[in-house]
Amino acid sequence: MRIDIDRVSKTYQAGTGMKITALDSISLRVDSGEFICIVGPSGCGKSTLLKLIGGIEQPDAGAVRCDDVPVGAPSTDRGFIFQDYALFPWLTVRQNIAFGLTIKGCSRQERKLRIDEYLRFMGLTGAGSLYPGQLSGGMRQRVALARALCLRPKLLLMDEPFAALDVLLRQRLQEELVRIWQTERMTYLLVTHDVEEALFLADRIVIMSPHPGRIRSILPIKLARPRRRTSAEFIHLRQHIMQLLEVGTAEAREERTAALVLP
Amino acid sequence: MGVERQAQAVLPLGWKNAKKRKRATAYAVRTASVLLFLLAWHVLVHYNIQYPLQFGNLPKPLDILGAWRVDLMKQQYYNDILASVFRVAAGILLGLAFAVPLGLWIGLSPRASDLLFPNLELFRPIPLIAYLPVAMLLFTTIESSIIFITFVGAFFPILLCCRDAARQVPQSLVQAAHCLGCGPIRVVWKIYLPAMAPGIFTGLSVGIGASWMGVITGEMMSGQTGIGYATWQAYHLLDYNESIIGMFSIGLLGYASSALVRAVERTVIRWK
Repeated sequence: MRIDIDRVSKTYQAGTGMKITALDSISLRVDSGEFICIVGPSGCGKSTLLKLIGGIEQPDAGAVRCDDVPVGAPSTDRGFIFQDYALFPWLTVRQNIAFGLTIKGCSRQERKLRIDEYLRFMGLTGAGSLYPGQLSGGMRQRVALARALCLRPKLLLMDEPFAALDVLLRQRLQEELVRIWQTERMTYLLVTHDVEEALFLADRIVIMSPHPGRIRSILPIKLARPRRRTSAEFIHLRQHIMQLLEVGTAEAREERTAALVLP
Repeated sequence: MGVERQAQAVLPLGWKNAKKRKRATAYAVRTASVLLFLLAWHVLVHYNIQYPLQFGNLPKPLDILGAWRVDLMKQQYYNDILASVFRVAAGILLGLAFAVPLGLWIGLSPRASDLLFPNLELFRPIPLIAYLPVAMLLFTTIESSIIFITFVGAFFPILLCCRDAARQVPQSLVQAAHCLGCGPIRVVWKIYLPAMAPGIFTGLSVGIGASWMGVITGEMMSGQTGIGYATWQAYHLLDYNESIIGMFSIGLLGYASSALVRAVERTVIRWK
């Protein structure tokens, strides 16, 4: 799925009545089959951008188009992985994965096949009858992935999917995600504040800066896959992105102080 | 290594025994507490104690137990209980039918909250017994006015619990359902109601207690049947044994109905 983001802006009303510009005229084009990571410090509007593409929220100005169709409401073509996994706690793992399939009107037999396929694919066989409360963080994340992937979306949006996991598990799931992406070619958009994660996964990294949320730079990553986190190139690029992020944040801070001083 | 294995085998066994002994002591203490209460009651009546309260006027616990045994053989006793149980069940079902959708609506829409809540807050603090005159005017039969009182008793706790539960449904669950193709009406059935279920049960267990208070009030004031009517009628006929039997029967029925709610809750909410 191709995504065109055309001069999109979004402001929020803060509790004190102050307006916060989460996104300030953002434009971005994502090609079909690309793996894009959006990196930036908190407050740069990266999650908001993801929700606009998902259709969960609407922009104040500008437009988001997926395959030339303007995004209105959420659709099963665009899978969304939430930061807190958003599994339905009253449904078992199987029922959670079945949720979208049932609504779609899949036959019982096809549903069973599809669920079994994704349970196996995600390494969840045997966990089908457990409730989300009985699972570890890593397993919950995999259920969320299975629930979204079994609808065969053309685009997968992920909002800091591995933020709550420990380092080893995070690295393993990142490797798994690359494997999934390589088997089911579709467009991936992943938001993270972890530079290393972005470098490991992305074809292109979009670096954003906060207050107001803007795209600072877009960096194509030409490293060959599978990538090694310890290679000299990897470390060099990581350093480079860190610098870009720091400069971006510092500039935003200066702008804000200037705006405060001037009447 | 052999010793180690032995120690492992012995440790949980000893722990289990200690737990069992603890539970046995707890039961012994509870039984003794009830027996002690009955004994104190018996002694107070037997010696016709009139100060600080007129304990001497009460019937003796053993006489009551004897009369209760006779009652248990009579059809009338069960008819009264069934009449009251039916009224409570009807009030609870009506309460659920009205309070759950209203609570959901008030919880989700600030406009609905502004529109309805002031009126509801006006009625909520009114004790159930004070509804009785209005109930008598509104309904043609005594039966329906008593059911109305039990409905009012169930309605407000369920409403408030539902409103709070609806507000606490995580937005990410609703958004996730939308992303999985769930439309706005189906979200109510598939997300809001199951997510609110624990809150609804909290309201239900409070509401069923209030319903029992309502039904007894209604029956005492205006009924011709029911356990509340029987209790009050027996007092007027100077049959104090029956009054106290009625009182304890009401207590047991209230206890049984909250146990029933808890049992249903356990079967419905298996995921907690």
